[in-house]
Amino acid sequence: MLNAQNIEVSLGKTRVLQGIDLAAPPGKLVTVIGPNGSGKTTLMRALSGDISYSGRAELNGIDIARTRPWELAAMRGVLPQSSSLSFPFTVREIVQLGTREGVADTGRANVAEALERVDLSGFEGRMYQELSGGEQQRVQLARVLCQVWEPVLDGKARYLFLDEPVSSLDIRHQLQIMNVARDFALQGGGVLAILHDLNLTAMYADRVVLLKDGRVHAEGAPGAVLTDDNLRAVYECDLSVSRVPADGSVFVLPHGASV
Amino acid sequence: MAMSFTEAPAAARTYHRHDGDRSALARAVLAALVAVLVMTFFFSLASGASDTSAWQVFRETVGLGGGALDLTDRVIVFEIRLPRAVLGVLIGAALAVSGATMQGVFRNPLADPGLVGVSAGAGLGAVSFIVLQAGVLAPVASLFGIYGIPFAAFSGGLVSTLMLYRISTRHGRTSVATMLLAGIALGALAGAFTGVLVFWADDTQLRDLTFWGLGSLAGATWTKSLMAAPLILPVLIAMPFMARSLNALALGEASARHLGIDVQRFKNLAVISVAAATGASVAVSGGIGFVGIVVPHLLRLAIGPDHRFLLPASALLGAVLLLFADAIARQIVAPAELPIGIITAAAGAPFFLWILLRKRGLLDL
Ligand SMILES: Nc1ncnc2c1ncn2[C@@H]1O[C@H](COP(=O)(O)OP(=O)(O)OP(=O)(O)O)[C@@H](O)[C@H]1O
Ligand SMILES: [Mg+2]
Repeated sequence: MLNAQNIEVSLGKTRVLQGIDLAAPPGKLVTVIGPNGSGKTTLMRALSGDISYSGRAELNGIDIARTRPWELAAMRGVLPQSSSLSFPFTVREIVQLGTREGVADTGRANVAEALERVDLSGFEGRMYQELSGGEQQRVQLARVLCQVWEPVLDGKARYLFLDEPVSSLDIRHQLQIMNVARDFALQGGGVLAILHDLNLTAMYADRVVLLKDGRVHAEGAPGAVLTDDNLRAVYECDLSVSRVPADGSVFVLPHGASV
Repeated sequence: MAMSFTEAPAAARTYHRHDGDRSALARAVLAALVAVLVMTFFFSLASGASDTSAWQVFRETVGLGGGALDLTDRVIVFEIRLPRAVLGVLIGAALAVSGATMQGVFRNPLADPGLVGVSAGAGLGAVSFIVLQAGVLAPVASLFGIYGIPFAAFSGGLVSTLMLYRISTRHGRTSVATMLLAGIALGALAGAFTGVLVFWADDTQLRDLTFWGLGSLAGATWTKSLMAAPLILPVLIAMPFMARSLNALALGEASARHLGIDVQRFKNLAVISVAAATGASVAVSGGIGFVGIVVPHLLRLAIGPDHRFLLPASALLGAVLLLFADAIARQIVAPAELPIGIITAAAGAPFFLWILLRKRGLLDL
């Protein structure tokens, strides 16, 4: 269980997050949405133990602020919004960084299988820096998957923290990667994903946290959060939400929107 | 965001086209380097003004000589050349490993203790100690004995590494341009202070000081190996424990932390290691440049940047190259000899320029 209460973060002189409450239960896919600069990445960095915050954040009952990096690494993997690589590693070598023994019990983590899940079979021998942006993003996801290979370990859920995992992917790979995240949750793990795509959010999220200016504007099931009023207030954009006739899930088309 | 090399070396590309696993290649290269180092070592014992064959020396060393070497040769080989070769191995390994480690920590293939002023800082430490050991530093001198100079060099190197890191790194990102320029400034500053101290030096001190300029293995004794070993050996032994962290750091500091590395603690350890290895080398042999940049770079082209293999391979190749450079330094103007720093600079500087030409984009950060 990931549980955060009253998280506040100041970076430099600005208060970036204020009074954030968030819960991400095992088995659920929770997405965080909100405009640029609303504090999504900052929230994920706080929950990853990267920056100091006030308030209380616990992962499986353990205080995130007081836990050593290797203990956190055993419980959750983090896909950053952007990554850079300083030396020319091959794809296999990058993914293997997630499987190294000693980080955690990575169990049966397997480079070839991880690459298959992100649709990069056969890319083991390619140089990472020679891949396209979307391919690099998927290699990083394969590395993170290896780190928390078993969604549940010793009866405790492990977590995937994903900061815009599909931001540079084509439509097929967006769906494929969101399926990987959903499968992880279906097998008992927890997923916290930052997304910009409201339709993917509507399709995949079990719960949605909508941020505006460092505060939670709305929280709940996709159908309850993705409403005309909420979107208009948060994105300052005249969007209207519709429903799919078949199953009643929501979708948002930007065609008629005015900004 | 190309912080470094974006193209794969052609040779490596063909080798690992299929599975991207270069560990078998790396192991083979390591084994070959061990063999080459052993050969170079005995070759360097045998070469010089008094010619003996490497084979003879080898037999003598393992106790099969049967008196084939006469007494003069024995003295030359075991009292003069052996300590020099041992020192060469230690220094070569130390320089190459500190280069590789520093490049890993700064996440930048151009970071080298010699280039960015760390050696100059260590030199300042050593010179301060030599000049001031009779005066203000007398209590320290009596406390440390022969370890005084290496320890002073270590301290100087540590201070300059820390300053460099503070100046050139913000939010875990090192700016290449800032790092190189700050290194020039720090090196110049250390050089200026060193110059002032040299003015205060008396004649015997001056003789001690002259070799700092260019770097030399001349005058190698067992004592010097003893001075350097306590600072260098722990770094070489710590290597296997640094490899995983350095690999993770290639992904950036945040990702390394997410993989379970205590980044701040590791960086402290790494900076101390670099300062120790660089300081010890500078203390006994002056500033020998470019080994720390050339060796890891060549090895990355051959076996890739995995530090589990890169660090030991750097130690081995560094030792080989230094013994080789020392042999040239002794032969080229025999019976006199060149400071070895001239050889490494003459070979290393063009190599460095070649790296820059190939990677001109590197500085546009
Ligand atoms: N190091 C920093 N110092 C000061 N302010 C910062 C720092 N990092 C981020 N901020 C500010 O904090 C706010 C939230 O940034 P954050 O990166 O969390 O946004 P985000 O919601 O992830 O946006 P995006 O959708 O663009 O990724 C922004 O206004 C940003 O300018
Ligand atoms: Mg963000």
